[in-house]
Amino acid sequence: MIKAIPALALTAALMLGTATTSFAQEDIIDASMGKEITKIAKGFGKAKLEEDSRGDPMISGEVDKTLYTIYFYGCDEETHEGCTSLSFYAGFTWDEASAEVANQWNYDKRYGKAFVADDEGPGMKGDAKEAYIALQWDVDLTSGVTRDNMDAVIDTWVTNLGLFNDFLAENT
Amino acid sequence: MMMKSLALGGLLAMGMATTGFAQNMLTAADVDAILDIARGYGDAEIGEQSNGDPKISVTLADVNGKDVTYQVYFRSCDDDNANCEDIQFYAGFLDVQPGIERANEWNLTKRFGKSYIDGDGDACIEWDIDLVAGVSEEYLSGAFDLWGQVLDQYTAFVDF
Repeated sequence: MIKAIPALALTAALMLGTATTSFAQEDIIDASMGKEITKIAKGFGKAKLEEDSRGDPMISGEVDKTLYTIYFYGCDEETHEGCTSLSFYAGFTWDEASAEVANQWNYDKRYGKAFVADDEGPGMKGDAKEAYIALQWDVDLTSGVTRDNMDAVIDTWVTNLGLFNDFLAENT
Repeated sequence: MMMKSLALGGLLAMGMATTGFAQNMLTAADVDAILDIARGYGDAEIGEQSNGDPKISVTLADVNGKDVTYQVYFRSCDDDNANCEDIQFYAGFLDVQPGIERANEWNLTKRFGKSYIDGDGDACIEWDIDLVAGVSEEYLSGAFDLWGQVLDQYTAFVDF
């Protein structure tokens, strides 16, 4: 797709004979584009565009039976548009959850960060009293990325989610 | 790259306005371009990791009153230590030992940067950016800016 962008812009320029700004930017994804990001997420598993408690966009996804959420941040308070960053999140009820084991993940692995908490975390469903561990990865999209890059970002998240599942299994 | 150059040439030849987003894509293979961006934020030097892959050491002056040096590690490079796919921002704080619970507190309450306590008990913070599909110079510059803000907060958080 990267190679296709200039070709598309060139074709458009030839056809229209006008400034190519809008064509050059057509394939740029930023965090204001909930629907587009949902479509890309659907390439990896189930994904549904919803709203969080503030009314901002939120994507509920599922890949290999693991539920995850993409939260949108920096959105306009009234219109809930123009969001500037994403937070990928998955919470797991897990009896072995401890700051030590979360630290081990954070020391060894890249991308997502693990953490534990005593009370219910964001997006955590189920009994708040149960121990849980969460994986989170935040991506700044203020200046936008290409569709290819957004696809790679979600691929990285999904890959790390799989590694995290393995990590939990290894430590249970 | 050849396709990009050709298309850009075509647009320029026709006198077309363009935002230039597609033309300036950077990946972690563009070490020199990333070094240039780093120099906009601090005193930056190129170096080598123990495996021969590139790294950039950046020193920021006066982060909460002290100089802070961090590393940009180039990752997933080829056998010739080139064509790297992504970068990792890393800062370790020698003899700053806030404990695992405090590191967890950062990860629970802050968004950017993954905090951990290393084998020596020292506080570390890392942030990985996937660049394999290429990003704009503006995007990468924004990442260096954001990382600087993370370090500003983290040094205060761990009492560096």
